[in-house]
Amino acid sequence: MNVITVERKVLEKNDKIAEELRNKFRSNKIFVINLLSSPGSGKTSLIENTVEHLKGKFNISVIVGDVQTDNDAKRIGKLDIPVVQIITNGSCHLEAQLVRDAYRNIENEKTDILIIENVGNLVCPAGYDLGEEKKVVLISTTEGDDKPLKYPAMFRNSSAMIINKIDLLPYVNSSVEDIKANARSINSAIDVFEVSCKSSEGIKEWCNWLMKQTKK
Amino acid sequence: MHELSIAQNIIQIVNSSVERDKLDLVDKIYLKLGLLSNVLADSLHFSFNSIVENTPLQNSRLDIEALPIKIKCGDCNEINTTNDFIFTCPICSSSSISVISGDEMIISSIQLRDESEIKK
Repeated sequence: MNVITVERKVLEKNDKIAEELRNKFRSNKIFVINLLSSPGSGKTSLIENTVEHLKGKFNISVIVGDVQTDNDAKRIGKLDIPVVQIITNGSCHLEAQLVRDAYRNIENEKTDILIIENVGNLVCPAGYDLGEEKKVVLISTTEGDDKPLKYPAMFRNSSAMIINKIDLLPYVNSSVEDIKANARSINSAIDVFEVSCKSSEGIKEWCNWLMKQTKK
Repeated sequence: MHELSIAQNIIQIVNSSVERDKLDLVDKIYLKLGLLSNVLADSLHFSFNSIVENTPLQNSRLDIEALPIKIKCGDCNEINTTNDFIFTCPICSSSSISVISGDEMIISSIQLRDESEIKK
């Protein structure tokens, strides 16, 4: 019997590209977040609100991943900022190589903050490093309080959690306190923001966090 | 269903770790998967077996070892393992926990059949 010792990470190729990207982003002083959520939680709406709020203060660029259509890039493009759409054609997550290729299209644009809007999915994107500085997970009040417990890896790996659609709280069976308690049982250090992308409530606090991160 | 992409990565690593003329001797590929790696073993077996069909690796299979999540308490410094995603110290109940390991996805070794065995 012949055994070959390997001891290699399955995603070593992705991790290597992600590390190269991170070094590049850091040396260009670009703060990068990997924005994650279920489909329909409001990632694109959050980006619209964030860009609007930080207009004139920070140059934001966006890379957006979807399984199909460039609808999100069209929406974000209306804000007059650099945006690249990645269509994954069925794949459920973004990989570092896709981000590297997409970033080439906006490399020459002045960017302080790069937001990577991942494919809407709380499972598969968790393991793929995209070269980001922080992962931010978005959850909406219509999704159920126990989402953090159902998708622990995602909440464990995220630095911040944004609870969106707080304007719908009177109509849904959801408690912000329960969402927070569940998230903190997985990740006690997670920063939490409560927002409504409809009314822009709470966007200021979220943007303050974002601005603070860029200075670190 | 990112297991298909994971299976493709595994095959690439096997192809670069085993000499080309010995690929058809690969029997078991030993894989360590942490519980936080978000990979479903059944799905991964299915994906792997589907893409090695009609290739030199068609008689190989994955041998998956599930690794628990190892946590360290920030208050009492105790190290424990959890299999149920509860990030609270079982000793002092503190929730100031850091995860030491549990998101591994590693190919540890590859076992080949004896060439003489094949000829028989």
